[in-house]
Amino acid sequence: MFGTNEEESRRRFLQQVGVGVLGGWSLDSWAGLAPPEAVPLPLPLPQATCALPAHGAATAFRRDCRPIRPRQVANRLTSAEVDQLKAAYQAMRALDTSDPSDPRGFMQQANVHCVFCATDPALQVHGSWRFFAWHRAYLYFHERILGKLINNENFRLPFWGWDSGFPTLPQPYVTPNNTTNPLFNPTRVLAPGTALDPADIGPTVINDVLTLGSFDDFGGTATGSGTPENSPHGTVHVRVGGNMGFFSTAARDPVFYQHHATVDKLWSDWNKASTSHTNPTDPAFTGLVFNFFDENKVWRSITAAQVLDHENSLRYVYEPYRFWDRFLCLIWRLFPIDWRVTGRIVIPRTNPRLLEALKGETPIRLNVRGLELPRDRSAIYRIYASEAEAKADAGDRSPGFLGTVSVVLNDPDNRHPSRGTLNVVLSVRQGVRATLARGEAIQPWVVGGGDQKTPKRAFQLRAADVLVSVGTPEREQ
Amino acid sequence: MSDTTRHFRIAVPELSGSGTALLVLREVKLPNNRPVTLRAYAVAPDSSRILLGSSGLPALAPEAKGSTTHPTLRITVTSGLQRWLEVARGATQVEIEVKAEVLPDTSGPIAWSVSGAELVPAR
Repeated sequence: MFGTNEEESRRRFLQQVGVGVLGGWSLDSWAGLAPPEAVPLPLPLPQATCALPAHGAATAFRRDCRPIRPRQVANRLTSAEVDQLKAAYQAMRALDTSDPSDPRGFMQQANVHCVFCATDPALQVHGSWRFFAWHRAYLYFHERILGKLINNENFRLPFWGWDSGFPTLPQPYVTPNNTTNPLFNPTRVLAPGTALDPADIGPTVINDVLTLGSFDDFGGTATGSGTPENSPHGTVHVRVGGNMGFFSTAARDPVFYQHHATVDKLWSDWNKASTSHTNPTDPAFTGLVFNFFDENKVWRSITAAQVLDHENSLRYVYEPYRFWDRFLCLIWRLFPIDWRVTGRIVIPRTNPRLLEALKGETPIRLNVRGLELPRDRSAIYRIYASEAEAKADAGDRSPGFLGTVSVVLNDPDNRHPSRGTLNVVLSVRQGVRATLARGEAIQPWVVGGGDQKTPKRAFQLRAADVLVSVGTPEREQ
Repeated sequence: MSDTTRHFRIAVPELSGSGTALLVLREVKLPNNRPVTLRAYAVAPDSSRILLGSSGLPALAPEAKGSTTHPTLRITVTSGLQRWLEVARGATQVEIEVKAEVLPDTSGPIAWSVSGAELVPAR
């Protein structure tokens, strides 16, 4: 395809963008392109307008320790959240003029999609199982950049929501519908207020996609795309039109990111729709490496494996969400407390660090090892900090409630009883913290084990050992 | 939207319990500079068209030259095929129309081709 000079140029270009060799990309691996025609094809755009800033070797992505936060549908954002979204994009656009080479600028961010989707076929992320994973990583770093620009690590991208009842362009992106709005784009063909065709995003389309039984059909293979890539992802691109209609320019429209957040949500929903909807475990997929600039302008590498669990790894969920993990990444350190001698939980005066932790907000846990519970029947047991609370058995409304432990038989007749040691971890809540911080002892009690024939009973907790662990926030890597 | 249409008569496959089905188009050649949506319809016994599914293909770039041939394009057609089967009970073959739709512009109808089509159960 390329002459000698063009081959050297292509080699330099690939080195510049940091092609991920672990992915085993090759010209043959993009099924969307046939071998070139007889007339040599020029690259769609000069490299000068579709290239990434220079960079060194990539630093591997390790962990994200921010709180987990939801991505919300754009039309349900509060006015304050819309203001924040617009401020983030305004700051990103400002970099286009103040420092055009800053990889966090809006056009530089748009160029990422151009480079990996409209230049060299060897880099193409469409038309194969790279599609979902690459775009998830792309949005992740884009989202972190936006958050950094407005100094808000809790910022999360909104999603369009055409999959769930929002078929028109999201309101923040068309209000006002002019250049004073950093979310506006003048090239769109889809007019504000005009709905996308139900043939493209209606319930039938979404349901057909969510019931696909294999990742091969949903997300694609090494050499072919899954069906959602073309519908609804592709059909929405085409219908919005303008910049969105072309790989080279699609990300110049801010709604691109909201569209792809909805596509990403589709992947998340497909995984949740059935326990059989699993992602590939083939190392050829999980080992795919993608490269992006992060919010600190550091050139990062991230693997497909690292983006599969977006909730815990990338710290976002899609509303409606079940819970928020408010704790950052924690390192737990264990401290002995002479349980074996005293049979009670009391913090030694000789451990000032532990006492100090109890007075603050640091997460504290009790690690109970070798908990003694009846193992001849399936039952639920609740643990409290005192006998009185155990006999009252008010559940988690009780200030001394420590947690719940379940005993489950391996078979109804208990012919194969469990023989392993029962170890549990219990959270220490405020009431118990205060008691321990005063140097007072607590004597845990257990209640439970009842059924229709036998009443529940309360008894003193017995265990081989109890240790206290203190959680220290871990630094992000 | 301006459009051009291709016709096929293909066998109705044996579907599994879930009835999930795909329409596979082979050797689909499209221009590199025009976004296209392909819409597949099944022709009912009364000659009405039942939408099976769609495939949207952004183009490479407005100024890109030449065309791209996609060896296969797969479209999920589960619900549409089930609707057709309800009105065409016992049919072993289905007539399918594939239309290429583009947004109105000055470039006129799109030149495209497809060499074959088949219906297959999803994996």
